[in-house]
Amino acid sequence: MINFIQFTLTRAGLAVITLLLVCFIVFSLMELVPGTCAERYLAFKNTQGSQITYEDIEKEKIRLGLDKPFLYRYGKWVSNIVFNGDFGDSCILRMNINELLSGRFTLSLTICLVALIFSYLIAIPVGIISATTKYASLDNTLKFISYLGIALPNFLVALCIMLFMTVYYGDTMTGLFSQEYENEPWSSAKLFDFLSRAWLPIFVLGWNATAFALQTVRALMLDENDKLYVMAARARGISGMSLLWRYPAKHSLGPVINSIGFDLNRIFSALPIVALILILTEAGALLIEALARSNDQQLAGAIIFLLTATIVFVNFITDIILAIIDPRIRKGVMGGG
Amino acid sequence: MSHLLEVKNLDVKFDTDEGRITAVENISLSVDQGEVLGIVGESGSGKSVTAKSIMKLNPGNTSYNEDAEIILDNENVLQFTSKQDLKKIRGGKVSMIFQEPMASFAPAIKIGAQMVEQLLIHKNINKEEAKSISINMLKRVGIADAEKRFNQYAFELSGGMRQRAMIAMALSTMPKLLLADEPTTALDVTIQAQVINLIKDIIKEYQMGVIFITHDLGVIAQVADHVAVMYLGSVVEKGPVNEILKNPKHPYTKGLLQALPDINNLDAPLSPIPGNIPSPLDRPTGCVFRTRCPHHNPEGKDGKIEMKLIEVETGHWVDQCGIKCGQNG
Amino acid sequence: MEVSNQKKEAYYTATQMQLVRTRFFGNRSAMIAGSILLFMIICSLFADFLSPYDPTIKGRDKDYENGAPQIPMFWDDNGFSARPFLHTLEKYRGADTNFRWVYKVDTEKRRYVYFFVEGWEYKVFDFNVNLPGKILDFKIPGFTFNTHLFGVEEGGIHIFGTDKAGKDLFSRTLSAIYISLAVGTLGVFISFVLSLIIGGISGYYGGWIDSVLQMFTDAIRTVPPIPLFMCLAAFAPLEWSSELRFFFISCLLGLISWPTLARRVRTHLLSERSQEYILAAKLCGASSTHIIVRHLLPSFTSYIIVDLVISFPYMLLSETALSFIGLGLREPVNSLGVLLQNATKADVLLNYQWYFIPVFFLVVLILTFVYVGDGLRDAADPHKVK
Repeated sequence: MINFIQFTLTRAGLAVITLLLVCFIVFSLMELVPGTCAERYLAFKNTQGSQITYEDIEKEKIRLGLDKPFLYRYGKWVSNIVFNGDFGDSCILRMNINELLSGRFTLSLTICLVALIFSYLIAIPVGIISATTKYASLDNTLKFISYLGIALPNFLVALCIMLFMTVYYGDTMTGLFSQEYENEPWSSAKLFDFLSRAWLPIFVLGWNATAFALQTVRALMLDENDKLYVMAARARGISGMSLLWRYPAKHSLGPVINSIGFDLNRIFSALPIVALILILTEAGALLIEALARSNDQQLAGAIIFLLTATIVFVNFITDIILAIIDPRIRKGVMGGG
Repeated sequence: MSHLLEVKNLDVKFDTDEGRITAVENISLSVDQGEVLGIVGESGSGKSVTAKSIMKLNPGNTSYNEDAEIILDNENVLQFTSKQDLKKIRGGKVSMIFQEPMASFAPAIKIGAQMVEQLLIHKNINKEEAKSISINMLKRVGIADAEKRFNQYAFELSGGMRQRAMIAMALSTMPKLLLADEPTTALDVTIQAQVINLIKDIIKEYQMGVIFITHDLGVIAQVADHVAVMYLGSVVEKGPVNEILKNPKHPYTKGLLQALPDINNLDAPLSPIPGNIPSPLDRPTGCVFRTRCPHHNPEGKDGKIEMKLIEVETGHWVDQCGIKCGQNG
Repeated sequence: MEVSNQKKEAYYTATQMQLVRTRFFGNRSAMIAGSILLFMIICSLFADFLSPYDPTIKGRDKDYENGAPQIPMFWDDNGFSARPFLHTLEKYRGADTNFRWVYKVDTEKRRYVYFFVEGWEYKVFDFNVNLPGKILDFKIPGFTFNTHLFGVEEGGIHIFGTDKAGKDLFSRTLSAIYISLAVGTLGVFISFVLSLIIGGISGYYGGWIDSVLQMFTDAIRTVPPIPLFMCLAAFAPLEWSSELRFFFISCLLGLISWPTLARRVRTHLLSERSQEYILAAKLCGASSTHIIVRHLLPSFTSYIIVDLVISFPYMLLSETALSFIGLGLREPVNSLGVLLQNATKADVLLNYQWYFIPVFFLVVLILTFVYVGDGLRDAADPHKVK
């Protein structure tokens, strides 16, 4: 047990280091963008008619702490996130980023996680069928479909569905809520409305991830199926489903769990563009807004940080699960008994 | 008296992207109860393929010839297709032990669970009985702390112990025939000797037939009653072990024996068999050994002579090309 | 026997590359995909010759905007013709069309298609690099041609139709495939160099250098690529020239996709560097650079090539995604992403379905790349020897 705690702590430590590194990269990127927050804010004020002088910019810089050295500001940014959970203000929208993101990020995360779960629910059985079927044509068809899943980018699928809906049903199916529920508090009717619309982004996001997960499962199953222990099990008279589930399937579960983090990464990657097309009011769309439209680096940094932190967290969890379910790793971390 | 196992005229071919490969050609063998048949040959000579054919374990691209027969206990195994029939030979009447005990135990399932699973398939017993049979069997093969090992995984055992556990698992269903595919190759020499002694004891005790596959004639000398020497998918010489070792007729068998170090004269140079084993893709026609025949043999070279086993002494069969090749030297 | 000996010799001494090639040629789906891919690549290389019109605004057809595809035919009511032809179109609007322009087909008048006709001028081997800073600028004047594969006598031939500015979609598709492939190639090249350097250092030296570099690589791999990509692409000022933007986007693609490849390089190196022949080279006093370049790299060239091909479709998809949201390439540059963006309006699905033709080519391009990459991976995988 002590060993297990030690293992968990080491993994957690590594996750934190990864996250700090990511923060550093993201923060450096934000710094590289020409122009500071102070200049932008004042430029904004300028358009409102007030006269801006050099002194004003300097004053504003000091007020925002932009005169301090880079590492100091990095440290402050990180410690603010870690200890206060505060991402600061967006200097374009003049709003607190936490307020801006709170509801939307949970919503994005829910959609992405549901998409992830669905993609695995489909990919695991189909991948196993594809890898073990006697019929080459079935395997080839499934393979083609999964390749098509890669070749048809999510946003293209989203686009086609949306255009189709618009033309033939007159409802764009965009957004996560109908207009009447948009600003309502959560209720069962709103939840129902949400579910009736959320299937589209979930489907579109899961589309690609399913294709990838399918290939992972298929490749792993083929790999395991070739191993001697499967032949040895057949030689002992084990056959059919009990052979399949207890031998190759059980043993490829570990690597499949390992790939969850990467699939979540893929879903997050597709999120912004899908959100843009389907006009979803969640973090992904905000990211495009922040980057493509207004160069809002604070907001973009916060979103990327949150997305990455989620992935790091999921990777951490899968590592722990792996150590629990795989006896080889379990013995490795917990020692003998 | 009918044999426990009789293989008649077996051809095994694989369909691959590169074409149809002949892995085994026209093999006939027999094993009696309580007898050990050693199969010797280089890697790729079709030893394992022959053994796997007995359990119909070869992959899906395998084809057998129509007139081949593998008679086990008066039933032709090659005609088996149903799950029930296959179950009988796989782990029931026949068990197999593999070269790599590590790779042949499923890594994430406990050894005990794998043993119990097998017993439940083949015997009409409950879990508790299966467990006690398994533990007794583990004890029988000399595993100390059998109860503890029962609940461990293969990677937690040492190499020799894994092989013992593998043997215990193979024997637990009391098979009539044991196929041992290079069971000692991956082990240290001292452990090798232990495992060989164990196998010999068990054969005596349970009176089963054994096919012992190896490339090591030294091991064959210790365990086998009969030997079949295989080269490129064909049996080139077979007979009682003493006869073959003392009076080899085929140049390939001679070569194998000469390649062994002589215990009385360790300084004598080893004489390897000249040439390479040809790729199964361009298997020589006629006499398979003719590309490596050490002597000039005008008849054999063009592949006009067919392979045919001739009985030179009682029970000692040699391929006729081999005799020719040996004679002309 | 002589022949068989030669064959045997070839079998045993075949290099990894030769084995990969033999196995790849045996894979039917990969070969079909490969042929389609090769055909598309060749077409894109000769895009200018194959395009009847300039793909930029210069080549627009004012008289045929948002025009439907015109398929050359061999017969009509007036009989058969060995030379393919089109019917003449007339622009018409009146009360019966709600005063919208429509095209009326005059089936009596034929316009014949001719081959190897003279048309707009294009340049071959013409390099003109104009990047910020003067050092990198250079100009190599190429040859000018004006021969095209096909054309019609009068009016236009638009086999994929035209867009709202009257630009020929066929010409645009060809040049878009070329540009997208070029961006991808440059991106793959940059990521290749980076991964070779970083993965190489990591795998060759091992130890703490490896640990630090791996941590860095893993950290980058954790960040979702497209958001990161967008973050970086947002640097590019709007006023940048299209060449500069092209170069910048390619660099970004390379900068973001190196970690996966670098990991593979590292793994190969780690397993290879403990081999005896490397020890032998070290004992002979060979320098690190010499060992890496002369011994280690050649030992897994085929794997690296496979990895590069596999990473290609993801480059294309990233470019498309980026251009699609307006952060990547922009008009007047043609790329598959730019053309895809044109197809985003509901109007298009209802009235101008041919806008989707380039999308079809994008899908085919990626699909064939994935199949080829998969076939190569299977061919290079030494564990898959049956």
